[in-house]
Amino acid sequence: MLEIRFHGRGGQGAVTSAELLAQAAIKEGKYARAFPSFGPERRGAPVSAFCRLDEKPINLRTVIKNPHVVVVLDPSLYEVVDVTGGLRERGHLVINTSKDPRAFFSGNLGGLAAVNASLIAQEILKRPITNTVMLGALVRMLPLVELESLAQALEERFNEKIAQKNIQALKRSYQETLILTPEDHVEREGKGESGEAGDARITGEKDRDYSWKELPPGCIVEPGSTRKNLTGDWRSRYPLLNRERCIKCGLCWIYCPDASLIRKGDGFYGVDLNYCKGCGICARECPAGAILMEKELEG
Amino acid sequence: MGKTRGMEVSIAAAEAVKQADVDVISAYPITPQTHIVEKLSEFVANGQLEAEYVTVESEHSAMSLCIGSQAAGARTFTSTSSQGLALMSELVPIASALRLPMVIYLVNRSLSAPLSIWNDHSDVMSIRDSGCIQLFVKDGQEVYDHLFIAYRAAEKQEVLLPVIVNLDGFLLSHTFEPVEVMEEERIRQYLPPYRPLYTLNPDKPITMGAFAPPSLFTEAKKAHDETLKASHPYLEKAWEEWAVISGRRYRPVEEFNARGAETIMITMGSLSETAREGVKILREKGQNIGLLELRQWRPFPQEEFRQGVKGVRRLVVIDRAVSPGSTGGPVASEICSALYGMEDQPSLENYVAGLGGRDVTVEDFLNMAAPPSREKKYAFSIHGAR
Ligand code: SF4
Ligand code: SF4
Repeated sequence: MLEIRFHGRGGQGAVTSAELLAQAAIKEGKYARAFPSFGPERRGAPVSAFCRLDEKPINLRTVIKNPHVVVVLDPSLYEVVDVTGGLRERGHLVINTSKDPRAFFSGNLGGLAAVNASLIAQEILKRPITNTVMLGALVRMLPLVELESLAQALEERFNEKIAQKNIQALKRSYQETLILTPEDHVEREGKGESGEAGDARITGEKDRDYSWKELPPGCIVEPGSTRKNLTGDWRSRYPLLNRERCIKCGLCWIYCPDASLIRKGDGFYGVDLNYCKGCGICARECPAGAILMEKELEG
Repeated sequence: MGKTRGMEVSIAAAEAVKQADVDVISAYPITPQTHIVEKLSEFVANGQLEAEYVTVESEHSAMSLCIGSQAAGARTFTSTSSQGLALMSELVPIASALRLPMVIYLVNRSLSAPLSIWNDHSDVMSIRDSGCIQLFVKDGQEVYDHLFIAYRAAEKQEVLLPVIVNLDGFLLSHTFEPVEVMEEERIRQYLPPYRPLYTLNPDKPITMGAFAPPSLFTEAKKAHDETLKASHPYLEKAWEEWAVISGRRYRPVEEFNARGAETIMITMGSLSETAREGVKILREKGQNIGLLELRQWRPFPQEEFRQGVKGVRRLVVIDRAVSPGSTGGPVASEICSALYGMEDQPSLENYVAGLGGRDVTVEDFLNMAAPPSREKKYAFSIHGAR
């Protein structure tokens, strides 16, 4: 059995990736299961999805802790999520990047596939949805299913026009994917800077594993818990304030649902990126057009 | 034979409701049931399913509406989870006592508090005594198949009881997997149109839900209890007939490597799948162990159960709900009572596992099934609680 984990942001189609891969395998008479990380979904928040593939019927309904393959749909995630956490020794990593993929290779990877999926998605689909694009890169490195089966799965799932665009994106990414193997990596070993992608920082402090005896009656939560629980990593866009235009009216401060705008001594406003979720309400309400929503950048 | 496709299990459930030609659907969306009812409202809106889809402001109203529509002779479906069921629960015993054979897909989720949207069986256990038929399924195919099986058994004039089909929230509802969708024609053969015994009809007025004085209430309850117990052979029959058209044979108690086993694990719902993997590993290591999967929770299949545990030395019962203040989980308590008076009673270890979405791994099953260091006749613990 092969286990795959997809990382994306809510709305980018990580779950669809996993389901398309499963559907393609089922079409080929194989067995497959795909599922999301169970829980609330928020547009823009980091999400993961999973897929199990096998030649035999699958009998597991458990979380995938040690995937053989990790696929990362969004370059901004390397900073906020430990994407390679739990990845098996000699496991495979598939990434979306515009940078030199060699920076993402770490010693214990069995292979790395890199493609500029955001660019392909933008050019062909006209939207930053990279799910099908990443599948092209995945099957280029590991021939888990035929490209044709994926194309069929796309045709069933979407209407003709969207399906054809996605198939085009899938094929282009298959062509443009760069594969790095441990052998390629050896030459660069001296640099010693590899593996950065895996050691990503996680915002917020992890919940402590309380024992039942330690829980307060009724499981009350003491005030101030948000100090530890940084929610800024849900964001896929951030507000950029232009001081030249700002008239210091404070409307952004009034409307921000997360109290993430902070008035500074000089009357201008700044954004607390530990909590700003990138909802864009401030930009919409600003009467002076002083706020622009910018995409989170890679790295 | 039908066609095997990959689909989300919730969508498979909705697909089945569509094929069963249900007349009325009323539900209030709640995680993790949402995908089922969203898909159904889409089917109705697109004209793919000719049915009334009634949007309501709460589960209490949804069940009230279902009672009314079923009483008027319409094949009725609803689905809910957790607090949704709790809100509905005032009316569930009424649906069963009025003998209204609706089908309820309960996408199991834990009851608050603390607030949890994840899976366990605390919701269904809160209405254990509601007088409905209660079944558990373990994979997407069973979810799909049981919609037809449930109506087939429920609508028999000798039964006429609501059927609650329990499917684990997220673990089943949100998983995409292969499901064989049957040809419409086969379904039509298997599930003829619903012919109610009585209906609410202004031309032929009757009263449903009338008052019962102390001189009658006991008899009403006795009749209900007897009817629920007597539904057992009709469920068997519905499963048998389903096997003829689908090739898939279901039983009230499913056995896996259970014949002649010294130790038997007992599970309900989707835990059974992972448990099978555990049993396989232990068998390879030489432990004489098997698995019983309890599919039919109400009416409790006493005879099949006793047959299944005959000659067994040790039972390991896995519950997915706590019965606070009790001596064990609800399934274990039921089993203790089923074993009472049996010769050569096995010892029983009861574990509560998988609460509020906690993963139950193959490893967990290996640990729970491992022979105890000191053998006791009865033991209970909440597995993995720190
Ligand atoms: S984007 Fe939303 S959360 Fe962030 S500062 Fe603006 S209003 Fe607040
Ligand atoms: S709403 Fe716009 S103009 Fe007003 S304070 Fe905020 S940034 Fe400045």
